[in-house]
Amino acid sequence: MSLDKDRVPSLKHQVKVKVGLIGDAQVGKTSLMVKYVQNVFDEEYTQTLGVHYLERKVVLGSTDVIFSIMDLGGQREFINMLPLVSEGAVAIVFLFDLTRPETLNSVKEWYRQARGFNDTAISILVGTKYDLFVDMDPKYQENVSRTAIMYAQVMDSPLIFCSTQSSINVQKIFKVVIAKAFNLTLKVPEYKQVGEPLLIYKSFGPSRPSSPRRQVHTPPPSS
Amino acid sequence: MSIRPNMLHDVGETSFEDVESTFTYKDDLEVPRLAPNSAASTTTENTTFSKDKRYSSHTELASEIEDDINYNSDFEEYQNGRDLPLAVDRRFRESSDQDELADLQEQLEEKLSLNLRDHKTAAGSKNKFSQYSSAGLSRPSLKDAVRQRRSMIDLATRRKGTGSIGNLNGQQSRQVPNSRSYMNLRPNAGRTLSYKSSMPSLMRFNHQDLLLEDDDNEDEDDDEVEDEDDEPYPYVPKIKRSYRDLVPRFTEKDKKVSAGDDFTYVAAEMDDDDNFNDDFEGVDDGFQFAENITHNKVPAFDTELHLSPSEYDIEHDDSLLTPQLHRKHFAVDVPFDSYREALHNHESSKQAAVVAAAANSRRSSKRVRARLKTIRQEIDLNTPMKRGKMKYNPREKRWDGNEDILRSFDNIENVDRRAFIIKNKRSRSPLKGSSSNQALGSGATAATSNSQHGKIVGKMKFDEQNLRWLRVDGAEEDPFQGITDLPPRSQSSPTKNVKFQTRDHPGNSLRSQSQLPFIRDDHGNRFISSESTRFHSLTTNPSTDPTYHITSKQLEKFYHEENKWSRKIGSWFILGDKSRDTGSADQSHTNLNDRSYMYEIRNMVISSARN
Amino acid sequence: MSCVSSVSSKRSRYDDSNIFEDVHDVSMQTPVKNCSKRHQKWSLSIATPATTPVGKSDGKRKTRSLDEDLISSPLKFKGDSNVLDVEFQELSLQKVLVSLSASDAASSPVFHIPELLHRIFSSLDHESLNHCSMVNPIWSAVASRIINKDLVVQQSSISGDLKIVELDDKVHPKTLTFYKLKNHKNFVENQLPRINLLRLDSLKFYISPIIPAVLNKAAVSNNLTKLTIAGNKNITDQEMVYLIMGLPNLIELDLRACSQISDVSIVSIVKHCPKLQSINLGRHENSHLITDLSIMALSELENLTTLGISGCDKISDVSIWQLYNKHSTRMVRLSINGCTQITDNSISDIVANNGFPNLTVLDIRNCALVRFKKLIRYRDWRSKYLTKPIHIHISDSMKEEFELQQQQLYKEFRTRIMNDLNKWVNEES
Repeated sequence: MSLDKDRVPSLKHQVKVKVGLIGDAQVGKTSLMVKYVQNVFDEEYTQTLGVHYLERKVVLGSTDVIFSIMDLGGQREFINMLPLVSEGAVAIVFLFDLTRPETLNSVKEWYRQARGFNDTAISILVGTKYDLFVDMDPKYQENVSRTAIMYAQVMDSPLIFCSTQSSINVQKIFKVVIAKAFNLTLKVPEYKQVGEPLLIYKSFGPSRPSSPRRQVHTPPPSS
Repeated sequence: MSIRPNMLHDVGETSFEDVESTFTYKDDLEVPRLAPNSAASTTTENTTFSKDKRYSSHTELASEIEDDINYNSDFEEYQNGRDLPLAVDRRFRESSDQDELADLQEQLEEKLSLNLRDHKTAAGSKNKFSQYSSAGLSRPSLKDAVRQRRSMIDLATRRKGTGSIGNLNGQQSRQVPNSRSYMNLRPNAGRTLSYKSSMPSLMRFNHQDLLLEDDDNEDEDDDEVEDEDDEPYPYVPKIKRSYRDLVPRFTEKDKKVSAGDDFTYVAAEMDDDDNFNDDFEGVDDGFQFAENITHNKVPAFDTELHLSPSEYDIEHDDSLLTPQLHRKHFAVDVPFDSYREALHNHESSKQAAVVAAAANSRRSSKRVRARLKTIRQEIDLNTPMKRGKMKYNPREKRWDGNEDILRSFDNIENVDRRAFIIKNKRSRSPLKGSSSNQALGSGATAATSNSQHGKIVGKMKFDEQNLRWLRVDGAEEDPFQGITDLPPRSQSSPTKNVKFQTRDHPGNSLRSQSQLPFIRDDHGNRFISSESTRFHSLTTNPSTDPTYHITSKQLEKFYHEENKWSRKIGSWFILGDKSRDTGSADQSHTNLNDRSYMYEIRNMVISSARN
Repeated sequence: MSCVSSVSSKRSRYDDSNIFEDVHDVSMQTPVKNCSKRHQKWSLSIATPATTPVGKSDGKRKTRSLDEDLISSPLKFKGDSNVLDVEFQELSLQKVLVSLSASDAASSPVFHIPELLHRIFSSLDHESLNHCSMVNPIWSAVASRIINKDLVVQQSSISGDLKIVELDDKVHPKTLTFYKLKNHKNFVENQLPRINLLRLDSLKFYISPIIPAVLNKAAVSNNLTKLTIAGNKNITDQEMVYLIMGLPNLIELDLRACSQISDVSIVSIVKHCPKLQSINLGRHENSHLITDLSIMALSELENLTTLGISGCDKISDVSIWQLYNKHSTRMVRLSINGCTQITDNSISDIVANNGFPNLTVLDIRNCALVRFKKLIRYRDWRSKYLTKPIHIHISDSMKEEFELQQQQLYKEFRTRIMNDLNKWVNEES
């Protein structure tokens, strides 16, 4: 009379995090998503005819973090699907193309409309195509960076410059999402110099100041 | 927390305590007709059981003795021959109804599925059989008839609607649901895009249980989604709302949301959870901090712009659009590569495999929804909608309702506004202009103030029309007189797939033209690729060039796409069939070669296969 | 009038039903002529709904059906099929008119479609059905179909007389229920001969004495699969053993509160009813009569899925382990309510380790259990990963402890989740 201990179920917790990617056409929303989920970067541009949806499961010790990432086609004809992407999202990532400053201007409108559906989501401002940006006129870089920071202030959102093509700051976007969502203290160093792939999250977005971290004791129940 | 039973229907008679509970009431007439513990309502009992709060309605040890007494008295009743309470009488009849209902259901299903269960009734068996056969044969046939008729109606209206077979051929018949053939690529091609009805409609959409179109072999993934509503992990820290509620800037409205049923549990949990409270300590301060930031200046930079006095000239140059002409002044200390993240972060995937194997075989680390899904809209983008406070404005194609939020951008807006003027007049990027203006501060206003009459700098005046600088006095002299212009370079040949090499990149990466706005030709000069509509922007000043620029690559893609589709559905149509191309409405009825019905057949086959 | 025309126009749709033959002997033959009369009766009975005896209308119909000359067989129902097929052809327009004028309630043509009516009536209680059966012939036929399938025999609460659904000659009930019947002599003499028990598959005695005549009759068909003898304090082991011997096809046996039944009966039941799947031995009295021995015996049953031993406080951990060994994957429902000798060492450990993977209902009310964490964890696991959740019933006295442990558990979970997330967020990527 003994139990077959192999049958002991292991309970995995799931944290589901919906992330919406929003921004002008061709700033690289889908690429960012695909890159993050499948680590594939395709040079070919594919227009998003509606909303793209991908899930990524990050498997941790006792927990699965499931990012369900939705990206809305940047063309205006799809903007009536905006609620689908923004509602219920834990974080809304506003993307702009670092090489096309007008896409940053559009963020204002995107931000307004997305907030209209979800004013509790963490917003994150992401500049894409850093690999191209980095070779551009430093003045231009400085201007864009500066304006982006101002935007980030207004939106109270972390600011990240990323390059999907060169794998820069892609993972960090989603780590910042989790850190902000669960109020974790992120220790990843920030990049604040013009010319660097900016990563500014400590002073933006909902967070507590660096109060002592919650003491975490781990009395794992038998499993 | 608790979940409605999925599989309980196969265990109809539920509680073992039915007798106790059924026999305990004393009231004669006041018994509610469907008391929760009636013997009949076993299934409902099941669910209420699992809700913690309902336990009181059932027998416990303490009250059992009392129950027992009642219970005994019940028996005495029967033994002594006392009359039954009417209520019990009634209740009982109900219960039999319930059983009967289930029975009927069962039977119905039995019959419909033609499941010839072995009925042991010797006498009735023959009758039964003929019954089955008749029912089984004629029922479906009736159904079929109805269905067929419906599709025939469809057929008729389709014909009528399109007027002629020629039309049918031209636009609709060849359209495959869900596809975009070249015809559809034309903007607003009469809304001929037809989407599968299985596509989730936006209006019906509920973000929690988003129905995704499952293409294939993803079936097993489905339960993952299904589970979602059940919230099997009430302890999983609720994200945003939970802490957001504690942040002071959020108004009562937010709190109301969080006070809803769904979150009370979590909230309550958090209250007595010291750790969690710790988490929220100082959130207040953080908020203050954030406030400060918005009013103070940029944290990372000082606000001074180090712009040379020659900034103005540079601005007039199209430096923004040809940034590569200017090499980097400052080198970032760290090489580009050092920012790279490690290749795909397969963090603990090894661990995952172990865990998954141990846990259960249904889950593996690969069970992520790795396939890209596209959700398309079912509703026309011109349909006005309302969602909460937001209203969809089909004309502007945007959602209105919270314009006030833009006020927070005013600071930036002010800066931009001046730039905007310049941009409009000079087709200059606003941002570039903005920063320079900002930098120049009041100095720039001089320039902009007389922008109405064109800018005048020194002796030069800007000609808005021709985008060139002319002498104010008009004494223009052309030193190049007499030299004929060279013919313009053809744009197409050198632009195709230029290899783009970033400074520190280890290898050459190929970027298609579509993704790269700046193309270098062989001599390293950059010119601007004309802005295609794909560079669509939300800015209030939409891109100006409405022309499509279809690259050869795209054309090739169209071609392949078209081929693909014609392979798939080609046999349903005779491409180039003259009767279809030129046929009139009259012809369509008589022409034997008309094969449009085949599409109908195909539809029927597909729809019946789906059912 | 418009309704009439629509009905008659619909007739053509049912022309196909020619191919259905009126094969069943239970087909109702209802004269239409008396409809108006019936309608009057109906309003009368409305006035005194509480006293309307069950099956009143059936009785009336029966007497009327004696007028053979009136029967033009307007309606023919096929057996006990849920899908009723009606031949409308023979229904003359005049007769339809009569029936329609009889009742406004039936004026809509919708209410002339038997299938629809059947669906609607299926959700009514018997009393309403009686009323409905008096509206018009179609309604009557449909309603009586439903009423007679499930016979209930009980003592009238008003007069003390025996009350039974008035029976036509051709009633084949599927279930027969006796409810608090004190004197069955009348039933056996007057009613029983008219009931054909060949199709009976469920027989229930609720606080009623066993009626051997019924059992004998039912046993002949070999069809009886469900037997309920609830609250019979008089039945002894000896009677039970005798009774059970004739029922080899029994699948469900409910012996709730039959307090004289002991291990002896159980062993005999196991021997004679090999197909048994579900047995309920719950009781308040004489709990000592059911011991581990019973469970040992029951665990020999091939198909046992449901076991109720509420209040059998002599049953110990051994039984549960035995069940685990023999029926690990089969157990679906288990009630050990009030089995105070069963401890965490058996039930909690086994269940929490997925020992009963198909268990869907576990009743541990009033048990001496204290370790809930694993159970909670298991429950959550089940609901998360498997399609079959498990329902654990706990009593109020356990609730506090249960919830406390649940909170602790969830807190641990939360801590771990936060830990994991924190680690991940900060790990080098």
